[in-house]
Amino acid sequence: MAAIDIQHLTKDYGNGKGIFDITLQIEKGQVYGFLGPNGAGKTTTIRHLLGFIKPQSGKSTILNLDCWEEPKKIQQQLGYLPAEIVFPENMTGTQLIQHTAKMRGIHDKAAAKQLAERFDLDPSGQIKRMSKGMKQKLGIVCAFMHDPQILILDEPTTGLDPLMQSVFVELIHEEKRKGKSILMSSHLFEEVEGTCDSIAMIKQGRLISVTDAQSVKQLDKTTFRIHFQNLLDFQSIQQENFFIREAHPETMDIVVDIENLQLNALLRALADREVVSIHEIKHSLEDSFMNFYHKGVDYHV
Amino acid sequence: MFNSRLFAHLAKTNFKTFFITAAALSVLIGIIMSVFTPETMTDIAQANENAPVNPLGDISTLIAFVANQYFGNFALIFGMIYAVIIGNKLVASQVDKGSMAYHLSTPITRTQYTFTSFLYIASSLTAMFALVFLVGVGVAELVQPGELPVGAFFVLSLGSLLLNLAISGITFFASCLFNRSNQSLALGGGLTIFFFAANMLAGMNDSLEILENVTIVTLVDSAAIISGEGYAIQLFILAGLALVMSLLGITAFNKKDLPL
Repeated sequence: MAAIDIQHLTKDYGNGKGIFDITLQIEKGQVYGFLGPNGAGKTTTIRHLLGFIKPQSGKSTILNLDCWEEPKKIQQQLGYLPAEIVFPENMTGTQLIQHTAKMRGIHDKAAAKQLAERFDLDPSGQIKRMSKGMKQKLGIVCAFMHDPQILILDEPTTGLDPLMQSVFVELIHEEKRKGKSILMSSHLFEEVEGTCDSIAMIKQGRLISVTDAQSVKQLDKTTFRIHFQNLLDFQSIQQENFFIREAHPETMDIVVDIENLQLNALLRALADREVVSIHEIKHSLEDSFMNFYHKGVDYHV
Repeated sequence: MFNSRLFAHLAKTNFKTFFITAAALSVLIGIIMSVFTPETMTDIAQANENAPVNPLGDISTLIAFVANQYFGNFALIFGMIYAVIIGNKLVASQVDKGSMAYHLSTPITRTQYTFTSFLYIASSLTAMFALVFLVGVGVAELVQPGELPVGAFFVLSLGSLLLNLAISGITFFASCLFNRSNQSLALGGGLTIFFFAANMLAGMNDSLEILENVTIVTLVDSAAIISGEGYAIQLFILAGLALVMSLLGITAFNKKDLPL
């Protein structure tokens, strides 16, 4: 049984806006990245999971409970961090944490306290005076304090400084080890690259690819930047049968994509030439992401 | 349907609005009950004997004055403002700002949220008018014992409460129906102002009397209440209106998509 199961979910807002036939499953203990530019449909999908929107067709379930029919039961097992977090007015952070604990029927405040300390958050002030980062931390405390089985995090690191971002990534790894199922949306590649097992890319309301994060890192090609000593070698290498992505005559640099099978051919070609330096350029998720977007690949997985 | 923790939260976060309205209403009734003694009333009546229009309306007795000026003006205006503000604030404004996402991500249903919210509105209004009744009777008994017919004053307070409950039913319904504060205020606040203005205009000129039939304010018939007959059905209508509008609001909120 998948922890989160979305089947053919469609909501058409007209003008090509909305989400169309989204199907995905998130298993227990899986961290699932949801990647896409602003307005692609990430938040619309998440709104369905929270039971805020009724699906036009298709359905979504969390722990086998229908998201539209039984949000209350789901909420007991769910931690949610919205993209733009807004809290009720006229409360201090401490009051908010206490109220959240009461609503959830939690008597033990240790977890909330621990989370606040971990994120270096002093919740005693009025929420409306808090910075964006502090509100985000408060949101994280409220989403994680009841140790939920399912976590839905919409652009969770917005407003956090790099130090806190790494604290957050650590927290995600811990939750994953505890067997939590996590759906995390983002438009930041690094955020999902380091933490997610699977990455779904969404564009104009359609899933365009679901990738295993491991396979992104082990693509079957490698990119090198090679710096030559003299112009002759720089020019002659371009006659060889390699895919030259960039060539800079002024610095005598080339950037070349090598299929892994071609590696020996490249080494042989370089052996005859005066090479100053050679660097591997790491393939990031960003490249893979940009590939999908720029080529306008439009298929379903 | 009811969630006591949410109720406590609403009472706490909206205490300021409640306190200001309740305090203003209590102070006003206190002043009226202490200032308008039989002697003052005769003086005012004599001073205005030859005036073409009496700005204070029927001031022959204390209870008539309270009915016209206090329940006809002050309590109506303050109650209406409270109903419009709180009705909008508890639902539409939370959706508009986004804090509804916080409420609904705790384990409660939408019905629990809206039902508890309306119950808060209704009980805060009830507390307010109970306070008005107690302060009014208390001050009157201290300053001018025996002048205030307590029974009629009680029914007037009750009528005013029911009227404000009906209005808050309407503002609450508008608040549940719309996702934007400005739309909710346009319907809820707009209707409220219309009722108030129609009531005022109807009293000004005989040719405008027909407006009495389009406003719910006239359902509290103060002359009938003071004379003690023929006011009950109208009050039941107000109570029914409050009930129906709030149920419609709860239903509308359950069915709609929330932009959270």
